[in-house]
Amino acid sequence: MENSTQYDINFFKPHTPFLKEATRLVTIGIVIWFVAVYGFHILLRMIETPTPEKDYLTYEQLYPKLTQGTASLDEQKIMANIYLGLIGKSIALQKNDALKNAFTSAVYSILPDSEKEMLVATSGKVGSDKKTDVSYIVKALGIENDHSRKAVIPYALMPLSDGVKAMTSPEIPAIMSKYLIHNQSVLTDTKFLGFPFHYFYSAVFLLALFVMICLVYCKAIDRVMKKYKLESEYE
Amino acid sequence: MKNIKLISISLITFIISLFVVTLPAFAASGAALEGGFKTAPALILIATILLFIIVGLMNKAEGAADYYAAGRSISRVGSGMAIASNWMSAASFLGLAAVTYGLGYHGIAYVVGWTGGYVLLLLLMASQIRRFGKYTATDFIGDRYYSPGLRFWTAVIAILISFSYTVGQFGGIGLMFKWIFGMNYHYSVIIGSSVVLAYTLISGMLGVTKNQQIQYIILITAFMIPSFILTFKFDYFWVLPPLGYGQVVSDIVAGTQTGFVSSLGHAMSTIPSPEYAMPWDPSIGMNFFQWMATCFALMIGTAGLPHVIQKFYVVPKPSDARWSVTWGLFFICILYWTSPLYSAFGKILSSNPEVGKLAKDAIVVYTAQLGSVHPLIVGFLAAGAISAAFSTVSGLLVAGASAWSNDIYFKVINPDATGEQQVRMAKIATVAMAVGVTIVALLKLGLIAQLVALAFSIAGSTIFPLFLLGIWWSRSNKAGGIASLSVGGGISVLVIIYFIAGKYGLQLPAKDFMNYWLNPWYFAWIAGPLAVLANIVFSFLGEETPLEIKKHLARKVHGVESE
Repeated sequence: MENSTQYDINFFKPHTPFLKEATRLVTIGIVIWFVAVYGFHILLRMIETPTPEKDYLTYEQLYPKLTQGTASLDEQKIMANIYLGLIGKSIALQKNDALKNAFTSAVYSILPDSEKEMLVATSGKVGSDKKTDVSYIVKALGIENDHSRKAVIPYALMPLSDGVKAMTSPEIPAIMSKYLIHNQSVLTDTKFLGFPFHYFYSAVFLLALFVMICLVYCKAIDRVMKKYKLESEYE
Repeated sequence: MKNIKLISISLITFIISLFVVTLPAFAASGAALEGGFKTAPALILIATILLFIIVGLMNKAEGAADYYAAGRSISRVGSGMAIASNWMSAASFLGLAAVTYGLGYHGIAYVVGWTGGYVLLLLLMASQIRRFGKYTATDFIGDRYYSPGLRFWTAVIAILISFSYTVGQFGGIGLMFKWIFGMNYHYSVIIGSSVVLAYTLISGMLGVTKNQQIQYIILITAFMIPSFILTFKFDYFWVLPPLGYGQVVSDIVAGTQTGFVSSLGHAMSTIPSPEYAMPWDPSIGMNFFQWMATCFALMIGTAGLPHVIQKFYVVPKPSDARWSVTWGLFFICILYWTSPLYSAFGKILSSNPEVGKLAKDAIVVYTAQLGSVHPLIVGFLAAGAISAAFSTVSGLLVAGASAWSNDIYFKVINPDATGEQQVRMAKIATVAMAVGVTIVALLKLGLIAQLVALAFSIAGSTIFPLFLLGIWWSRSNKAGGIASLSVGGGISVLVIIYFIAGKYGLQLPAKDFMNYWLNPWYFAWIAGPLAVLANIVFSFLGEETPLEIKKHLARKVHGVESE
């Protein structure tokens, strides 16, 4: 007499020795897979702290002075460089008028009087001609050897034809925290084979682990199949 | 067989000779990133497509079984290569680098999701699907849940998945045709899709599977060569580029000033950009939840894609199904380990604002160009990208067409249809699908990887739960299956409605809620588990699974009684 329960299949209640071994292998594989992927990223999330870039710490010190109008020329120069670096980070920021106005005004302020008119002319031209000479701005900012920042200048200037704007803007604090504070921890700051560790772990190691899980599982399940003489029928 | 080898060798020789003969003519070109007809890349592309078509013709499908499952005559490694080639689409070849270039560490969720899904597929399904003994995913669901209605709706969903997946591929083909031929995007998509359609119709699945092995070799070679050149040229560890680019990532984070210049004459330098590598960076706009949800949705989606599942029917034995997944994953990983290299070099080489806004989906090709890789090799890379899209599209069109001809036409509309009629219907469906996809691809609805992610979420919400419980829980029955598909399918349809409405500026209620929690790129994170839950609840409420089904599942799939 056939008993229908003998054909029941339930991953959590394997009722034959083969199924018990097979589901045990699957469970081990899935647990390793789950912990390696999600466990690691939960850990990454748990230990991370919002970590400001060096520029952000400087900004925190100098921005209030800039707002109150008490920043020295050197401090204005540092802030102009911070603005410039920020604008260089993304194309979206190269279209941010508040940031560009603040940068242009800071540059105007630190330039010697003899070059201020040049800046007015340059700022009017860069919209259509990105090759306009900006070497005097490079010099004023002290970034002769910084190719990245130098290249951003033509994209960071706003026309001064309507007059010089403020070096601050209500929009700027939010932009600063958005772009200059990052989620970091020992897992992101440690280097491994040149990579930030977490990046290596996800982009390189996890993939190798997946292949290893598959390889070991295939070997193991083949052995189990052989043990229970299932090859003849299925394999 | 000898003919195929002879022709293949001739064409490969032709491709290599193109490099040699046209080398001087192109030595000075390559400064402009876009525009203009590129002769050598065009010739390489034509030769490559010709190679595929000839091999396809030599292996033409001779009947329904051949068309669907290639006669079950493929070896483990060969099947692994076919799985990899079938899998490595424009989304892998172009899209992965695009998401890591644009979204930094969030893009790594795609890398992990698209590979980690294979572990699920292997552990939970691969050999069991082969043992069940059907040709398509819909066959399995129709028989396991003993429901013609469920078979019909699964077939409809399989077509929807193939459709959505193919849209991204056609976008990739269009971009590369645009780059090579200097045409506008619209003409590129139309011409590219016509070529891939003709190719799929001529070759059939047997040709496709054989072709996919050749395609894998071509596309992985095309992808790897520039990675060696870039790491060597810019003085990084070039022996193993997938490890060598690690320092590039750290250089981007810390900012760097190198003595190298790009092909546009810009200094290879960058402002410190930790946002490129740090997890869920605020400036990227994707948070921790979105990383996890995307990764999970892509994983369960991988294990539910009909055209991937279908590959397990082409291997002779269940153990081959397992080993072919392992080989397939290894072959896939070779590309996935390398893909973020292109985005890292792309980031550093395009940091000068003068480069302007680049089409992210073409960043692989632009990076090679900006890195002054020889234009012929860049051309080969573009041909590789098209090859990747071709191999996947042909598999997808076959999967979609077989869902129509086998699961809807033969099983529902005309059960007396002959094998010949079925193949004819499959071909008609292939044409109809290709035309529809071309039209949608012209709308440019999103990045390739994102459009493809939509297909994954649909698969993860509908097909995956049915397979998971169908294989591992014999109590899962027709009522549970219907409930599962209703929940997963219902959420999928709702998400698609919101997605399309959003694209056309229509304001639907709870738009922000939907956009965040049920985003088209990752809604399977919740829809999948909900579908599983619905299956469990309604299976308990419904009648017992028929004994015949339980017997088949226990004996054939799980080896009960054979011990």
